Amino acid sequence: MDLTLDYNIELFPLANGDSFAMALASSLSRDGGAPTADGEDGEDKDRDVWRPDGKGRRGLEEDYDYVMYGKVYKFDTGSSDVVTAYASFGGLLLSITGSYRHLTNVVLGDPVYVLLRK
Amino acid sequence: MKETVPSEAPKVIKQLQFSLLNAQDTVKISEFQVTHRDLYTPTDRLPVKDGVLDRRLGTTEKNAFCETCGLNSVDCVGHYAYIKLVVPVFHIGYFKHTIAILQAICKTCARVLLEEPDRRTYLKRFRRPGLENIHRQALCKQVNTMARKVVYCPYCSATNGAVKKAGVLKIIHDKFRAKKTADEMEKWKRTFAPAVEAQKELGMYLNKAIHEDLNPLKTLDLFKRISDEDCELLGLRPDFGRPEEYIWQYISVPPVCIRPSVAQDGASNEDDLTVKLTEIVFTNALIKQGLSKGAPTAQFMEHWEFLQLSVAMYINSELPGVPSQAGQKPMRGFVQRLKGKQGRFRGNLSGKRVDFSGRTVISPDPNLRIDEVAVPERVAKILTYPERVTSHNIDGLKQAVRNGCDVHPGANYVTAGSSGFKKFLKFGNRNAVADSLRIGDVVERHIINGDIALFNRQPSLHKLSIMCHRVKVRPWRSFRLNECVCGPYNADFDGDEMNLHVPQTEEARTEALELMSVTHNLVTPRNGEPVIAAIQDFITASYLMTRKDTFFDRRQFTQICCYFADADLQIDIPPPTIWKPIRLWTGKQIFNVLMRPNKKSNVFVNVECKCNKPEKLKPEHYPSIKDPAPDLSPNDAWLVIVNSEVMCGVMDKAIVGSGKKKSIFGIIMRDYGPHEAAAAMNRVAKLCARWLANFGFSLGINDVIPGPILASKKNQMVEAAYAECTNLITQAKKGKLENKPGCNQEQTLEAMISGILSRVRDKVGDICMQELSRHNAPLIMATCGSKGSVINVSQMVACVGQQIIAGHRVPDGFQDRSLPHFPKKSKEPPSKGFVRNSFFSGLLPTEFLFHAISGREGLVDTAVKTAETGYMQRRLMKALEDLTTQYDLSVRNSTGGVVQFRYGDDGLDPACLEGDAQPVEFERAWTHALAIGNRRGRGLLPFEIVELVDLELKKPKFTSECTPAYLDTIRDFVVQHIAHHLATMRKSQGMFEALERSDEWDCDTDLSMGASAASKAIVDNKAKVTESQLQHFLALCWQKYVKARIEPGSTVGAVGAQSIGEPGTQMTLKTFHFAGVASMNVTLGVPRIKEIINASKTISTPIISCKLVTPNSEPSARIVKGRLEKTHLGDIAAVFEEAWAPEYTYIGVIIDMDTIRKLQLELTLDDIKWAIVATRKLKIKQESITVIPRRNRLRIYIDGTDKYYKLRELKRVLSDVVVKGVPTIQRAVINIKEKDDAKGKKGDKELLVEGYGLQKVMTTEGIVGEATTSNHVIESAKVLGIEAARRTIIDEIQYTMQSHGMSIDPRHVMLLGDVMSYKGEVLGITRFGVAKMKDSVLMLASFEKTTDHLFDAAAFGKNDSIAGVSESIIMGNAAANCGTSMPALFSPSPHISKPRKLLFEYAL
Repeated sequence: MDLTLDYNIELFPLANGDSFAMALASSLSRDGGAPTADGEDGEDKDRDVWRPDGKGRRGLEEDYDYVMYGKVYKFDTGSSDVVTAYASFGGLLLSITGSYRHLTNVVLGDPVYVLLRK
Repeated sequence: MKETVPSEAPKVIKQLQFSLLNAQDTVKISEFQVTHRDLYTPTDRLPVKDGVLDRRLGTTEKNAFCETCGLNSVDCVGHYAYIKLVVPVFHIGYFKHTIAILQAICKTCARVLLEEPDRRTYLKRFRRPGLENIHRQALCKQVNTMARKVVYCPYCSATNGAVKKAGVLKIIHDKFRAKKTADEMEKWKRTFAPAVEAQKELGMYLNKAIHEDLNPLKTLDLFKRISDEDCELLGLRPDFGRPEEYIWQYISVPPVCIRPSVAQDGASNEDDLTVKLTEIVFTNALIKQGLSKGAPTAQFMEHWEFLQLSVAMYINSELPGVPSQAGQKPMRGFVQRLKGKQGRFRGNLSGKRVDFSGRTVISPDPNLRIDEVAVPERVAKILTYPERVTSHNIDGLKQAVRNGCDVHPGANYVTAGSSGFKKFLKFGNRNAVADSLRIGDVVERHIINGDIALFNRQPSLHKLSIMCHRVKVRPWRSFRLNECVCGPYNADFDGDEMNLHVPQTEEARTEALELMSVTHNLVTPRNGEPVIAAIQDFITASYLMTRKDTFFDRRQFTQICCYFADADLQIDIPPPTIWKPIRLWTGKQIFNVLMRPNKKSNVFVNVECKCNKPEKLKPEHYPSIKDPAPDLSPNDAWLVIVNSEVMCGVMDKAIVGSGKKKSIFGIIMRDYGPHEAAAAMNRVAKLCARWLANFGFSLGINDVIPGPILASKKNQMVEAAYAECTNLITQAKKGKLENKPGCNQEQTLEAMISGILSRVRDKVGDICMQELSRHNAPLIMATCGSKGSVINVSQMVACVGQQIIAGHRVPDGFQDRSLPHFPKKSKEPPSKGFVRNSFFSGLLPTEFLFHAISGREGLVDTAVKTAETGYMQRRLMKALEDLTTQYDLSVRNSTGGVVQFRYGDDGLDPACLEGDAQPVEFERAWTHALAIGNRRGRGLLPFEIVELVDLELKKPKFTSECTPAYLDTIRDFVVQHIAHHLATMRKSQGMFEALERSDEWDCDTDLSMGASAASKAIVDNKAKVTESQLQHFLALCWQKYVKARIEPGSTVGAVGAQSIGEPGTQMTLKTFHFAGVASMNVTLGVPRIKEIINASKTISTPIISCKLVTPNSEPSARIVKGRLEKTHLGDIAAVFEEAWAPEYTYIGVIIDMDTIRKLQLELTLDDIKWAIVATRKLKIKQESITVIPRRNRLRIYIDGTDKYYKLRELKRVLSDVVVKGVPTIQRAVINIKEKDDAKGKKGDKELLVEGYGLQKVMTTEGIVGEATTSNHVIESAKVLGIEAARRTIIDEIQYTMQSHGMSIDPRHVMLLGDVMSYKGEVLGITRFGVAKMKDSVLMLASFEKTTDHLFDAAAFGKNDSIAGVSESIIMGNAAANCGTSMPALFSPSPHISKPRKLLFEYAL
């Protein structure tokens, strides 16, 4: 798997050679993990909701230092087994390349969270 | 309240019949005869009775009354009088016609000189119904030429000779000009023998008398005898004017109101016409006196001639042949009153002064909506709108009346509905008026917020120069507009003034609002690109805000969101991008909110396109990704927006600016209508103005100081380039430079040096972009495209670069050098205008001068070009103004002539086209459909997609509205891009392709062939299509096509003319380089466009491009080149020698056969011999040349007395004899194609031939004639026919426009091509061509040669049916047959029997 990511280096400085932990999630709630693409409508409505007061479905971010929220918007159009998915976090791009088998849970048009920790 | 229906319909002038004013009518309309030459009585300075200022003609004095009608000078319309001439005089306007008729008739029996059969055929042709002007003119010409050749009249056998003009107003008949009439002449001369004998001096004048003087009296007599039938043969309509009326016997004296006297303390200043009239009266009286008293003939003739001249000057004071007195101001005759830009036609009839308008300086205001204009209060108090009082508005209008003229929402006048009495509200008791205001009254109230006004800036080059805005009344003194609207007006705020007009009726307001409002004109009809969009600082601000490193916290973000709207907008804040450690939003999210402010808004923008300065990503930076998406562009210059969320890309010129169909405003307009787009633009304007004012953006000296790296790199590069140039110069001196094709050593050197130097500037520019800080203001502006280019930045920071004058480096102004600061013959960069300094570092004196020269050239060029393009625009407009689409979508002119059977071949409106001259951009429409359609649910299988599309396209909704060709393109797209894509995806994951339905399948068949869940997921991710998405797509395709169809009544001609003329004004630089060949320049820009639309016979760079039979072989190309290019004898002759011997003299030519072989010319000695013989100029007969084949010699023997000089002359010109090739061809150059096109593929050789002679080139062996094209319109028409000419016009205009980076929809160019060719011959858009296209006299008179057309019309009794645009404007009718005046009711006309002619009708 290969990954490129734009992130705010002032908030989360990394130097060459640093190691960090990263998670991709489609929800921050710890319970059912990621609701898959064919989630139900009621659940779906909740997904785009964010609450300025900090309530709502949360939890996962507590374990990380840096959290971004965005959307998977593109897959490459080639027909090989190695697939690239693109996600955008308000203009900050993420591209993830790997075998299609590992990208089953990345669904076009779905929201996605990137969580980073040193 | 219902208005009463008037019993009389308003009168409309339906047609205009031109005719001659005959003597009887002249007298009939007159009050009295003018006999007195004096103007005023000497005692009390009153107008003399029977003088030209008689009070019975009306008066111009304020306190006097007309003696005919008793009205004062304001109300009296004026009355006529007449002058009875003692002797007839020629009318200068009909002088040409008079001569033409005299040429065609027998000077004895006054019959047309045609044999009976010819006569009949021509008569039949003249009587053909619906004869067009162009054909009648041709017939007239034919009759004239035939009749002129006749010597003996077929009816009376009298001799007829040539009739021609001799002197200003003199016609002579050279009776015995034909050779066969010599005997007759002798006989005629002999008749004078007795007279000569009696008076010897007469003999001298005998030869002069041969020319019979056709004076007005004689001519009048002849003309009177022409029968009515003969008149028809001469092209006249005897009902409306017979030839004798060409000659004036009575002069009508016009009323004094058209020639007012200006009283100046005691003396009065008379109009030129009055002066001339007194002169005529006086001369007339003199002649009368002379005749009665028996004055000598010579004196009589002198007076007569003077009278003729006076009458001629009265009509046209600019007579050719009459010298004007220097120092005196030229007189204004009738012709001068009508003619020219300020004349009656163009100055008063086609363009009129209007009320309810204003003009002042403009200034910007981003807080206005784009469709608003801020009107100063003091202007608003003068401009009014007549509003009728209803129960709904009575309170407001009462208040307005109370406020009166001086308080703003007031009113100036009240008109009572019952009596029509108009009250001025400045004085009197306004409260009383307000209280008595009743429903039905009309109040001329001040304009208020929300009123409708037309806003205009000159030059009004296209329809977007006048647009309809909503009024916003504001304090201060300037008109204000949103900066986004500067584009279409081409306005800036350096002191520009603009005009404002207030439409005065509800109809006018509605029409203005629907057709001309800013919101409905966001795109230019030229090519459908948006013209109203963010500019300059708006772009800068958008760019700065959307860069990747811009983050806002919640306070900032909400504050910015508040900037872009009024307080009445619900804004939903999107989830932040960064949730932890702090919540941050990015700049791009501002634009998400801007496009779709809340959840209720249904504006979903979907677009993917490149930004202003795209930087390609390097694949090596992404080793793992095969074929990385352009989204990863290093400078974020690839825009992706999905459902109004910006995924990547910056908002720069290409995204928020004008000129790109894929800009967000363009997209919103196409998908959600112009009102949404305008709203978004309003938000951008407000947001950017407010945000940037806080953020700050300024430019200082620090921005243009180069850093140490930049400075040193630049110096290195310039030095390297200098060294390279010096090297080239030394090489060239030694002659070691390899010549470029078609160039000599010097040209090659110049081309190479120019290349090096321009490369230096570009490279320095690139370094600037790399080295300058990303906060550098000029750099930011150049990258986001808001102002300036990379070159401008590098000129300020690094290096100004090469100065170009007339397409070359600075020429020598001194002997062998440009300036005395340099050594002679120096070709080094500095001496030829290379400026290595930057504007920051400062220019050296020499550099400064070079820069100034180049700068001045630019100024001169613009000045010249504006005048040129203005005239071009005017001509285009006049030629195309009346072309409109009809209800059958054909394009016809005002007389009903079909120009195109279907507008642009497909009947689509260029302004509504989303793709590149296509109604729908399928790719984008598909991504849009994917995004807005529901992705959940079952994905369709490939065959289901195809079936669904086929089913939908068969529905009547599609079949009734769309053309089959369009439906095919939809289906093709779906099959190729959607179904096949899905099928390949499925196949790659090992699933069944399922492109076609098979009978074996039932609902249980697993078409995935047991693929894993992961496989299914990836196929879904990459290519899933749901029914909802597909239906959305088809709906889009239908909707866009239906919207894009042209409306019947569209003025496609006017729009087309504007679309071609307007970009012409933006063209800069005279010439361009021809692709591929260094030396072959083609004319481009305005001069080239001018050549094409003028249909010039000679063009400055005629080029024929030929496809070769063997395109890949250089030698064969050279052979063909040899066949075409002319070879002179001097090129192949080794020696010209003189041989002198007692018995013979000759010039010997030794032919260098070796050269012929090397040049691969197919040339024998005999060929050369015949070429010499064929050269007429030399007058060498074939027997005087002997060929000696063995020794490759030719001998040209010379005989005669002056052998020596003959031989010398011959020797001089012999070397210029063309022995091979086409003489009209200058040269031919072998060109290697740079890219594939219709005529061949990349790398093929083709021949470019400079010169004329398409036919000869096409038929030359080795050239594919079918694939040979010329850029010469007239030649194409001559050789290949009218269709080829049309194609050439279209292609050439498109090529020229494209090479200047301007795109014009092909439909406009096609229309122009059709107009120029639909008459069957190529007609230029010039006065000659337009006169052949149009029949309307008024239209032609308002174009050029005003009076010629009017005199023609009167002489031939023409009729103008007031059908076109110009005529309608002149007559004050609504423009016929176009726009909103096209719909009409059809009803069978009631049968009315023909009215009986009254017995004495003619006496009336």
